[in-house]
Amino acid sequence: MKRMLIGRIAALIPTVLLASFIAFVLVQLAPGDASTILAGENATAERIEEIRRRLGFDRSLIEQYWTWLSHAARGDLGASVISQESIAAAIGRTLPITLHLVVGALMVAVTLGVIAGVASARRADTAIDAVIASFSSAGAAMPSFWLGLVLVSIFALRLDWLPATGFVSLAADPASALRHLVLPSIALGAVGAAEIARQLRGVLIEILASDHVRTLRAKGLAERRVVWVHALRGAAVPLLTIIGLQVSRLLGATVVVEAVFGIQGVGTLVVDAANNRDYYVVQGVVVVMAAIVILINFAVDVCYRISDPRIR
Amino acid sequence: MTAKSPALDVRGLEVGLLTADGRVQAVREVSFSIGRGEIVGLVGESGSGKSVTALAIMGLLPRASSYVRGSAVIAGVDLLALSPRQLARVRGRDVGMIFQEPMSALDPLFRIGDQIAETVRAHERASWRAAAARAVEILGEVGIPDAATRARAYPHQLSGGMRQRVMIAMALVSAPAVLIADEPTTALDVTVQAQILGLLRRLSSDHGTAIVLITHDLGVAAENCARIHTMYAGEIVETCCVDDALLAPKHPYTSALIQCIPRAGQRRRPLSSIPGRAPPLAAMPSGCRFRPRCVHASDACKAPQPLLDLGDRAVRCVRYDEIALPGAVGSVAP
Amino acid sequence: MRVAACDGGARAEPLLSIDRLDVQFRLPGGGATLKAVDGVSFEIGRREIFGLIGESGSGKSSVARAIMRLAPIASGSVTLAGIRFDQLQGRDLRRHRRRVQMVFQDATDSLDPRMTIRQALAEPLRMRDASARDAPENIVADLLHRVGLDESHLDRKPRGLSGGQRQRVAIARALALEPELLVCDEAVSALDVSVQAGIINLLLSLQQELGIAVLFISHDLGVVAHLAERIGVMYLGRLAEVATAESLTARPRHPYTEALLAAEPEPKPSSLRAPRPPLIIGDAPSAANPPSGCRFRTRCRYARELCASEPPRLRPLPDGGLVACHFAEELVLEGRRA
Repeated sequence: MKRMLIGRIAALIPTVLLASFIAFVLVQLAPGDASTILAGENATAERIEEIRRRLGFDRSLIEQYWTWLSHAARGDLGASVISQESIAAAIGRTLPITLHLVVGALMVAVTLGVIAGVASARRADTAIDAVIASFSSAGAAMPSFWLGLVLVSIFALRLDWLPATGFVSLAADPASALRHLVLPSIALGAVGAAEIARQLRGVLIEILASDHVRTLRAKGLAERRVVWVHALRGAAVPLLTIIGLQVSRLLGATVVVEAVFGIQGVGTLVVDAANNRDYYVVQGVVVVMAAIVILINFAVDVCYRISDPRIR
Repeated sequence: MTAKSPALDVRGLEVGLLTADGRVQAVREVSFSIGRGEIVGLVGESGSGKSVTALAIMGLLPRASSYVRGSAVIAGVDLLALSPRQLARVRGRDVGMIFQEPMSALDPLFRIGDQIAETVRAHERASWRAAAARAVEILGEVGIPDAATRARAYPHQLSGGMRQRVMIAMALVSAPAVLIADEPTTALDVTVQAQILGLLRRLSSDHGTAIVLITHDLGVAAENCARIHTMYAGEIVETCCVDDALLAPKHPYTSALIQCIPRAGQRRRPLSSIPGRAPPLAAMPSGCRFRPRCVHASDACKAPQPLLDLGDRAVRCVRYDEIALPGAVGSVAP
Repeated sequence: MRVAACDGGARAEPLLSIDRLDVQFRLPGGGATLKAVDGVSFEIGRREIFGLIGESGSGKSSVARAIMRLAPIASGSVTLAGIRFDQLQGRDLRRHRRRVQMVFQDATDSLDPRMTIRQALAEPLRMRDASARDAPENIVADLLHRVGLDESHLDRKPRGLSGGQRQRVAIARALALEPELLVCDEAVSALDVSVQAGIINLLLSLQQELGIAVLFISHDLGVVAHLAERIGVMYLGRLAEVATAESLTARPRHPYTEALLAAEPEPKPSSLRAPRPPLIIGDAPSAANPPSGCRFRTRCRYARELCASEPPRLRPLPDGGLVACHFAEELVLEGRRA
């Protein structure tokens, strides 16, 4: 297995490179560039052209990419043409914030999803199952920002139980941090919970009807143990797959929730940069996100092999 | 019969299932008992209801789509009257079951030693260490070489015969009085089959375990069972000791089944087969269920056929004393 | 080594001749190879039913697939009526392929569940006569009658038929191409005993009426002994013994055959069962790592030193039959009484 792992790790690098190139091309396809914005409202065409040349936006795509890549390899992702802040520093500042959100949402999604999934699988085709199913459908259909707004209006504005906006780092003040995270995590994680519940239900129903579960019951194991120790272990592979997919989705969906709750995370950073045609910021964020997603997929893969002895 | 109470006593078992064709009665009027240390065969072809009978006794049929009536008494307790929680305590401890496909019947994600230890801990207070030691002990008893090392193996690392031994070990580790074996050797090679059946016979005589052996193979029944119950279309059609069933069967189905089996002296001659098919569960004929396929059918067979008690045997055929049925050896002189 | 025909065997030129057949598979995640079939040679005459017995891992299914060109042949030859069948390519192969047809264990897998029986039977007929757009109804009906079914089954799909009926359809489909050899790989193993008997009778009558030869592969000694004229016994990729059905069961010459006969349960009352030699011990060794010399020696009651160092060759015995055992002449082995 070790040999396979090393091979997989080595394969990560070309994947990230490919992702960075595709991102670069896609960003360049958008019309206009930062020089228009930098030049200001009443800029002449020559002024814009001069800025463009100064920033190197007039060179060929491959040249620009190569420049970017050679710097990025040394850890220098460039600087925002708008704010002059180092992009690496900007990402380093905002990424942990977004990760708080993503982890929080993931915990909401997994906890709610697994409980709902197990409950509906054990009572398949009963009233409880139908109720959970309708909640799942609703949850999956709800746009995160709408849910966020609803939660804020009820729990923050009307009941004043939880704060409406803002972010506090866990390191700074754990209690306050958690209070600030509750609503955004729910808003972000609801869709994931619905997905997990639905998929898990299907997988568990199949497992609970399988031959080896029949043997477990014939042995006299309590049903609780059959479901939570054995059946859930059997569902680990599909569950891990869904969780991996959810993480990828969440990384993108944080943008909207950050906007609703006024959280200055990576999502906000990249949307502002896109609006300002701040190429290199967008490029930097996309590459970092791609690297994270690729790493998550790799981790899921490793977990597969650990959880199923037949694959090893 | 023995003066002692039987290890398992089934009375009036009736099972209904919800299938694609609606509610059907899969098994009815099944009654049998088995004494300590006895091996009794439930013999029948596919669709005869023998597996459903076993699953019903164990309470393993899906509750939502089945009903079970009657009684199945072990050590004074009627299994069919227990709640799911009480049933879980009884299963494995008082009655065990092993299944046909050892590959799919064992949990592929757990080591076999752990699966056996888990069974021990489900029924008695034992530490993991003690339970693991019991697991190794019983693995050795069922003939797994190098048991201490093998206990750490996963099911897919073992051969079919080994897996079946593991299943037997798991079913017997808490020393149940009754073991139900549902086609335990059908998926195995014939040499392995012989070993497994020998193991079951030895365990039964060593520990006094009563075994209900479910099989479609009359040869397996002949060599391992003292008595057999032949099942057809959800009913028991004949009950007797196995030698009597083979020499002088009293039910036309039993006899026809014996005739279908290839035997030495008749090489390359057409075998007799039973024309037609078993009636579908949803459309059982009234009267004798074997009548459409029976060469001895008469008008008397259109009436419902009770199981007639003939002392040491029983038969569900109103014409049993009128017809001469061939057994395993040649034809019966008319 | 050209294998001579033994008792009751092929007289004229054999229909199928396998010579020193090797079939190898590459094992996943390693690169080690597994020799599923090792130097197997036998012949099947025209109109003969030849049985091939073995347990799992014996290689009998691999032999069938090699004959059908469904498995790669590492070395050796498959000769069909004088033609090197294993070397045919392209159009020649397509032309001759129809002469050997296969029936598998589970007809549910080999019949397309979405095609009606009529369509399933028409398909090979269209292959046979490429010019005819629609297979003539009477030929399809004829095929059905031949296997004991009737027209009422034509418009049904496989799931509307019983296991035995599906297997008959599979046989009918195989017969559509008018093959000379029918390879049956565990064709009755998944069927109930009463249904099995019907299929066995069908194969016997097909041999009579159509003059077709059959290679019948099974793990069930009772069925094979009933059906076949000669039987080959395989163990871990090699042939242990080849003999007529009568002599194989009454007087086996290889210890493995004796063990198989001893293990097979007999549906006879205890008064009529003869005592038998003790069962063989242990599990079959892995086919990827077989024992040296004679592959059966690790479980053989009669094994001696020579068995570990030298693999026995399949050789003819004076009173007929072929055996791969060093001590075949000395050993007195127990068979089954009729």
